[in-house]
Amino acid sequence: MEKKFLKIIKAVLIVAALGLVLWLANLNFPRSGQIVIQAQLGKDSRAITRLGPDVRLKLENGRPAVLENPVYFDLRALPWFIRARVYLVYQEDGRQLEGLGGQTGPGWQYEVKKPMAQADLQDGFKQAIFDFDLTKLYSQKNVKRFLIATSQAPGGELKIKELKIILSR
Amino acid sequence: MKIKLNLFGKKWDFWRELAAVIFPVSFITFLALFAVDYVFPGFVSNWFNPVWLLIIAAVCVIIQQDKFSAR
Repeated sequence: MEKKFLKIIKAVLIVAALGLVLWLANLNFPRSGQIVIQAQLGKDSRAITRLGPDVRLKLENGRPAVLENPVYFDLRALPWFIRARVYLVYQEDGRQLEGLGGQTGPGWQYEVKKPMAQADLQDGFKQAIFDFDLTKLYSQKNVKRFLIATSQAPGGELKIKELKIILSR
Repeated sequence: MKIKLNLFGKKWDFWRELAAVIFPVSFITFLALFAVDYVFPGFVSNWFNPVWLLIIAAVCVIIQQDKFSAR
């Protein structure tokens, strides 16, 4: 009886392992050709880090506010995703958003872009959309670094409500 | 003198055999996923931490140790 039960358990485990592999394959090769990565603002998640360095930010109700320019985040994207559309929802409180940059080489090499589209949201926040060709960005173990550029003038803050990235093949 | 644990009497051997079944599946799956994530960082670890499988495999090895035998 126990032997039969163990055989069933083994079969279930093998099916579960194969299911895990298929689930991962489905996540990394989505049929739609794109995946959505939502940043958990204020804390690291697996595909996208929190904004840093900490000394240039403050957290208000779990939402970061940029106090000093610039701040960074890292995205871990697989090489077959060649485009990234970044959605940034923010509110300028004495500090303007200048753009979003992708690291193009080791060290301080960033290409800062202006938003390709901008919209005012109903709650007083704005949404900026940026488009990046990931093949042109510098990558270390699939990690690409981005920079949020704000105005150089001291004082003021840029509140960030949402950071979402849609990766597509 | 070696003291043998006999917490569940004869049933304990069933757990050892169960651990012997779980170990190869969890360890081989861990190795496979680790290898894939090494080649394509983030393929696995962006969604799931494969170290959990290694922990399960390690627990299975501990359970299979002779000192836990009921015999």
